[in-house]
Amino acid sequence: MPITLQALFAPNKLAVQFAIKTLLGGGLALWLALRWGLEQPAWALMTAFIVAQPLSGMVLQKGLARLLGTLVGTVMSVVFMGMFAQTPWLFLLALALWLALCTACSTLLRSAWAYSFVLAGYTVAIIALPAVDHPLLVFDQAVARCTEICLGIVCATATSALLWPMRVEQQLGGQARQAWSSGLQAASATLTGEQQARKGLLEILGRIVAVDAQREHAWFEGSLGRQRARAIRGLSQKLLILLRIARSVRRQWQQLDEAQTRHLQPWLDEVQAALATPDQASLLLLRQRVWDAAHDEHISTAEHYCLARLTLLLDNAMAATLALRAVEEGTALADVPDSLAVHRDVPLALLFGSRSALAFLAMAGFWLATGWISAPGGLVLTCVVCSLFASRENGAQIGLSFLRGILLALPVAFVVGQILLPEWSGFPMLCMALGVPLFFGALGMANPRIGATATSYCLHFIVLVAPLNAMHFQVATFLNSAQAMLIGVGAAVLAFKLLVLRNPAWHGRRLRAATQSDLVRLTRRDLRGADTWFGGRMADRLLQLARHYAALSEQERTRWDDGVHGLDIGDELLHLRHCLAIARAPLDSAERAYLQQLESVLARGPAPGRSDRLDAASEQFIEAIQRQPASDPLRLAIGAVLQLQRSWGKWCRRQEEIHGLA
Amino acid sequence: MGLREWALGGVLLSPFLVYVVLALGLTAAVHLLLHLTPLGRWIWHKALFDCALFICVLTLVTLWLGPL
Repeated sequence: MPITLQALFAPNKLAVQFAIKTLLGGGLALWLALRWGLEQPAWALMTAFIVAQPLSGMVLQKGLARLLGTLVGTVMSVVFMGMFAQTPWLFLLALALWLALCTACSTLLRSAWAYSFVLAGYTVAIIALPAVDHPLLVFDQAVARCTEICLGIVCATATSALLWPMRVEQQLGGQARQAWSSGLQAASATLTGEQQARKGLLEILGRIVAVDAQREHAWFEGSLGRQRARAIRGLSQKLLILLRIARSVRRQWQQLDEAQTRHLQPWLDEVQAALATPDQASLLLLRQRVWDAAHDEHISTAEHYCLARLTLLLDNAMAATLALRAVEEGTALADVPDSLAVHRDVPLALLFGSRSALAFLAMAGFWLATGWISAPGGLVLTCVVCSLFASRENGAQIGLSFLRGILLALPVAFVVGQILLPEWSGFPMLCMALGVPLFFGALGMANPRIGATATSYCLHFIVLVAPLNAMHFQVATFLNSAQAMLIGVGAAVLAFKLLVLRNPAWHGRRLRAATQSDLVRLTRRDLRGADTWFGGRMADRLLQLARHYAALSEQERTRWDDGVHGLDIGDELLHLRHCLAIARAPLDSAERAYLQQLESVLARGPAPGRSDRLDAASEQFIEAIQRQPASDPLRLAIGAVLQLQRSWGKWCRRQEEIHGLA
Repeated sequence: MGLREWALGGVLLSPFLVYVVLALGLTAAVHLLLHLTPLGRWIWHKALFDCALFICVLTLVTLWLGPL
């Protein structure tokens, strides 16, 4: 395997630095744990390896998440032991339920903090299962595990912050600039046509979500990091709005006839040129000129809408540029928007949770049926793998690379733990025996492509060698725990393989239903923050749909189109409501009637033959608006109503095409 | 008479472990055979089928070899 060989024998400078940092952090944790006579020093060493991440903010964030989860898990393990120590099946059932709950919560909470829930789930298994034979000692065990884990976290954080510190927030500037420039490009591509836009849209959505995910880590890197985290939030929001406005300009553009298109083409070219080489002054100048052109007496209504939206596009391009500058300089924006909302699916999360619980119960059944002493070790691993990778699409593959790591760790741990260490004594020798295999493991951890295998190799190597102050070497124990590990991870992989919860068609239907219910809520929802709420959730969904895109047949790809149509309608709806809010015309009853009609139409969803359901309501509402004294926001509102009607018709006709095909 | 351990260089092995390894090999062979013939197309859930096949083979192996 060339990648593995390259990672191990020709690593780059960053990988070597990471390996040295990790090793020193682990060594410090192990020494302190041995010096203080903690019960199982291996846990301190292992924790130092688990929280090791290339960037210091990430280490601190992961460490804190782990600490929080461990504390909750520790308390729960004592509670479970206190309540069910005499009733093994009830105890296992309660544990399975707790695991299901934690897995479900971690799937729902789609941020780096989800790790806390995973930890809260399997820490109970780690502490309570080995203590089943002597329940009275559970409190001591809980305190010991908690101390060891905290020690590991502190040591890993200290080394990663002191030695060659690499900060998330410094990399954030570059990533933000990339996201910004590809955002402007995607907007520019959207202006010209549909086909190029799809790929661009996917790429930029991916980038925005990726940059936004780094925000949580930057939070832990001093006040500059916090300011940047806040500025990133502004940038993600501005870029999402920019993309939606670009789509709306495109929609208006399609309404123009040939003469109008020819008339406006120079403006479009100029805007695209400005987006290709954006600088604030020329954008501002162009915006003013487009705005003046929009208010020319001689142009038609359709042209006016189009130019007015182009102005809005330029406004947002400028706002995005300002937000980027705020990120790069680390100054906070004046108005910080809400963070991007994400799409949450409670039933799916509960299904993931029950899969973890089922795998756990199956292994627990095996344990109780065979009465094998080493089975709890495997049971713990089933919990870990099932809850850590529950929401990953490739859970089974990650589980298999976990298994590969164990297979690699077995011979190395046998040589070190059963052959070398009995001959050697003293901490320096222990460090040498553990350090050399772990150094190569840490080099592998720095490479994302073999990271999972390498991490699993390091952790299981440590578990199998289990350094203690008074070592005891037993081949039988070693073989038993090796088997238990293989069976435990095997059971988790089997659960992932047998219970596949990622049916693309079903998943797509759920995403569409969620989009529809969001649209319905958008007719009533408070306008403040509605942009980020809707935009963030839709971005999240479109990304999820896109992940399944390759796996779908041509006919099923319409789900993606469904998502995009939903996005367009929501966008027009927001635009309409903004226009009406600015106009402050006495339109209350007409507006309420129209929105209610819209709500009921959206709630039923698009279907063949429903394309004209909005026509009557739209006509009435436009008449009501036209009775008011004319003003610019009202003119734009009429445009938005017409666009809503058209987008709805298009969505319904798309359904007709699909059903015609079927 | 129940199952007896296997002595392998002084290390006692559970016979069930030997059966499991044997059954794993047999299952892999049957799996390969099924996928080389047109029969493999009739399987609905590949992982579930393989799992069930393994249990069947393991049962047969245990019954057939019995206590060694």
